Amino acid sequence: MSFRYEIRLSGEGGQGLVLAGKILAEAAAIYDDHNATQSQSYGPEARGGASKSDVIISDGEIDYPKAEHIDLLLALTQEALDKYVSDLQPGGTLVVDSDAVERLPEGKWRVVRHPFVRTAREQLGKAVVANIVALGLIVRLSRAVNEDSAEQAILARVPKGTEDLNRRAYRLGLDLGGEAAAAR
Amino acid sequence: MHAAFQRLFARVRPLGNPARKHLWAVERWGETLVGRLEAAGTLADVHLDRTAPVPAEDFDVVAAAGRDPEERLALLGTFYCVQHLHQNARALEQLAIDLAEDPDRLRSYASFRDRAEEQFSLLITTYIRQVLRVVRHPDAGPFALLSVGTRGHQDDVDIAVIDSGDGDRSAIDGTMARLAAQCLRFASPLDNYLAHEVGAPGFCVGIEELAAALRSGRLDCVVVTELLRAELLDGEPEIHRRLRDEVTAEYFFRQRGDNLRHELYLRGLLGETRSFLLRPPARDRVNPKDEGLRLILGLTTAFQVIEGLGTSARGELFDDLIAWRPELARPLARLKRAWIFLETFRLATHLLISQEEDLAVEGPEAEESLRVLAGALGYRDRGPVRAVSHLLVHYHEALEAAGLAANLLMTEVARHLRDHGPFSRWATSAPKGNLAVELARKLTEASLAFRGVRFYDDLIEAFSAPGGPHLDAFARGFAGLPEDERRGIAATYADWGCDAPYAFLSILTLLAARRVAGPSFEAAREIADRFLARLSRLPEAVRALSRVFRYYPALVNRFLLGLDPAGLEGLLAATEVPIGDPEVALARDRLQAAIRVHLKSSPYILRVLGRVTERHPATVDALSDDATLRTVALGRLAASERHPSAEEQRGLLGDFYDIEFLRIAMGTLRGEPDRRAREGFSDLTTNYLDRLFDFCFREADRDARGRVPPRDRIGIFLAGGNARRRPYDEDYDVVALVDSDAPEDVLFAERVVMRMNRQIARRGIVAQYRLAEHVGRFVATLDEVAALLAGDRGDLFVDRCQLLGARRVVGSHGIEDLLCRRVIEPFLFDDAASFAERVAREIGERRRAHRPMPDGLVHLKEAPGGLREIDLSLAIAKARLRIWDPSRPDRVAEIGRIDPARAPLYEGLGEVYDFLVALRSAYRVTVVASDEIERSRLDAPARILGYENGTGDAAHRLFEDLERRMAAAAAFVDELLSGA
Repeated sequence: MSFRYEIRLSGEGGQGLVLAGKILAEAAAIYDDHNATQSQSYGPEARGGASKSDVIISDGEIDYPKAEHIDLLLALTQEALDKYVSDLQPGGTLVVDSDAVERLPEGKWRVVRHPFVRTAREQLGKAVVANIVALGLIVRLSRAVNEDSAEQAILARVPKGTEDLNRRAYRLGLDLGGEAAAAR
Repeated sequence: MHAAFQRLFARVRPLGNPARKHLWAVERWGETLVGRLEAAGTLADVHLDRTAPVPAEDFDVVAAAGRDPEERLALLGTFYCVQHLHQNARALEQLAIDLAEDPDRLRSYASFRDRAEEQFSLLITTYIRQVLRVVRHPDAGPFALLSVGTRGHQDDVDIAVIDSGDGDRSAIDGTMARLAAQCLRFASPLDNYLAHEVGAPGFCVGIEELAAALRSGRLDCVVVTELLRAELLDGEPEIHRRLRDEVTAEYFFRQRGDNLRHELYLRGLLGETRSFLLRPPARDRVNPKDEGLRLILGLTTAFQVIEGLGTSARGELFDDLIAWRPELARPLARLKRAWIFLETFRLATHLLISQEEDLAVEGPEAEESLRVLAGALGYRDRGPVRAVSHLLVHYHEALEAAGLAANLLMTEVARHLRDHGPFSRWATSAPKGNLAVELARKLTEASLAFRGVRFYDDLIEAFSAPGGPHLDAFARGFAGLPEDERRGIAATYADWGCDAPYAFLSILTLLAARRVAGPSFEAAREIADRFLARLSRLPEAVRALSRVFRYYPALVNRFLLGLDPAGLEGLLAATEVPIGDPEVALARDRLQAAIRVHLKSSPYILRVLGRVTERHPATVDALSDDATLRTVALGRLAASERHPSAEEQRGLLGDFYDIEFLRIAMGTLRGEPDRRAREGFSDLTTNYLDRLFDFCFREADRDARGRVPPRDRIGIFLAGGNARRRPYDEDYDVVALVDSDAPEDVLFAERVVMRMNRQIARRGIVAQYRLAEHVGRFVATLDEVAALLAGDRGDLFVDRCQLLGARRVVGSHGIEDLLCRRVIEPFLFDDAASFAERVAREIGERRRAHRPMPDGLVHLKEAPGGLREIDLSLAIAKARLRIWDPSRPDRVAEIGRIDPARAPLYEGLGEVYDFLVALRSAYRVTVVASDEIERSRLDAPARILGYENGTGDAAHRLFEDLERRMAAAAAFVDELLSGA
């Protein structure tokens, strides 16, 4: 039976979630030989407001490209969480930025909290790679794509000269994902 | 690896990381591709080592070599990657050649961009058609696959899949899903833009569905912009034609017919364009798409639908527009140049660095990327100027040029709206029926056209026309509604306000500007309350409001002025939302700082704040920044000296006064020691009046026909509270003197002071000329003053007190000496005994006449032990001890040194005086400009004066302190008078 895994990356416009979504989709489609679709939307003000990037990964055909039964939701802002959590399936995984998200709704999810933006700033010196840290955590937790494939996809997407920074951010995220998985 | 691929890998080494994906495919499938072509005997028919002149022919050969559909797809994809890499490498190579040969950089950029767009479009279209041949489901019904984005953009391909709407879509969806997977794997990902926007579950949208979605108000006007650029990639031309005729046609201008949707679309575009123009530029990155290209796209599309031009290719569209509207040739040409530069910048970034829209400009990694980009675009280090700096300057110049051109072109579009838009014609003609209701209905209709229709300058103009009927008609209409209906209408405007805050606040503040309570003011208040309630539920609206504040702080400040404390508190709470964008977050923080100033400040201070923000809106950003306010104020002072226009000189000087006043007031609000305010105010009044005198003297000199007295013959002294450096006095007691009896000298001096008086009044200050009622003029001669005081008039003791306490602000020591010798010494010092007796009598009479105030109320000036008694007591001392120093009139310590027997009394009076002045300052800044102190309103002053650290109610303790100290001062005064 084919698997279908839906991931939603949500937050504020400008947090690099569309990039993270594209990386996941390409990791699955190009390097893992799976099928993937990716779509994005912004709030009414294209810069700012809750934005999301949806990725669907499957080893079969994806005839229905709309993500409606999310298996993993990343929410980097309270507003994004409030807006999109209703699509998260019971039993799914909720990953939030613990500095930005104060209120967690009731639900039967696994919850993983981490201050991604602060971690990126303090441990890597650049808040801008918070999305890659989150990506690493998601990859390790979900196992929806191969870890090496995701790394390859990252390297194909980031500017020359930033490969090392992004690699470190990604591997930090993988470690965080490992800790989260072990903590269950 | 096949030699062709080895050469390919070497050739594309300069390309950025986006090439990795394609190289990976070549590494994985390249040998298979070669093997299959060799087996088919067609290797020589396919271009592996360069770009194919006719890609379709090569793709046909490649497709034929595949042994099964999956392999065919892999081979097609791999060949696509080979061609794509060659194209991009060649584009950069050709650009380098062109830049070396042609001094006109922009021409080379235009060729680079056009060529890259043409070749990429051809390649991706050919590839998609080939893939569709393999993946098309046999049951798929008719559909049109359209590209709707900018054709040359390689980061993704925006598509729309339109079907007939009535068949089984699953086969089409399956087809498109497989196509999307191939494109994601080998080419550029497909962005199923239209279906996503419409909310369709799959890939397809029917014509009727699309039309219904466009009428629902859910969609952004950008959807129409994208559809106007639709080109058929594959599928049914008839469906494409229906899209044009049945959907997008109604957004074009019709000479005859209903242009409402055309108008609303343009309003959406203009609103978007303005948002882009107002976007604060980021400091640490550039983004040619968001910072320039979207705005250019919006504006050119606006003209496209106005002029009915069919072409979607942007370069050709510019040329068509320039030919069609030669009177706009200059701004259009400027816009086109900016477009070429920014498109080239973006394309080169995508080829060499990454396909993200944001390009960092700070940090060592960014430095290297920019160096590569600058080099590719033909920039070289020139002496001390680095290529990267040169490139970034040109980037920002392109943005500026686009912005300037855009402003001009927006005016043209707005004019078209006024001439032809049904909503515009209705909004600007004389109101009929209930305007409040009709406007609400029309705005609701407009919001059903698109999400975010924001451009309403014509409506604002109609409402703000002096003597125009709209404001009154609106207010009357609103007030005349039954309560339920009124609440509903207010809610409609509140919703509109959250979507279009600039237009909403503009109209609301016009309504509220009728200060006297009446239908207009009440309407504004009720609508504002609903707006604030709505705002608290919409973080998006808070962001929009913050942006409006960033660029129109005067407008938002006017809105804040109309809110009561509950409204301000509500707004403060509503704006407490997390905002990720740092620029918007900063704007929100500054808005909150401005709200807090409004909450803490008295109407007296807010009046000055209103004046400052109208003339210098940016000041509102710096309210908590003392150093910046000081710099701005001094800048105005310096500018006033340099400006050639006399009127502007006075205006700038007035600005200096207001901004310094505000700065000092903000310091008091922060709890700074009152000593600073006193020094600040003293300097302020001296600088202001001295400079004002200069300006007015020069003007009077220019206009004078006869003799002009030397400047140092005129002296201006401040008396009263300002003389004693009491801050926040709202009036000046002025003694204006001229040392001359020549009528023309007196007349000249009079003219100077009259001019000064006009300007002083503009600051909201009332200047009282102490001697005017005696001499019938603003200015008195020294002889007149001497003659006046030589008489027996007992009522002149007030004038004597004023002279005794006067502080020179204009004039020389010479006139000061003359005043001392001719007036102070003979008529005050030498007559000190009778002066003292008269003042003591005055104090006694005032005490007897004083009626105790209600509990909880004290008159800080007139009550026993208040400021007036202290002033009068010290005046007696100064007269007796012959102390007169117009540069430092408040020398209480000096008095104690000269009269040591009474030093403790003077010290005691001095301490009470300092306390009363500090309380007065705090009260005027936070409550009201009055000397009647109410215990119930002392919370804020108590905080400023440090009473919160202690037990019990701070306001209560402060009030008790006030009463106790005034009682002590009264006792000191009694003792001083008894010994006088």
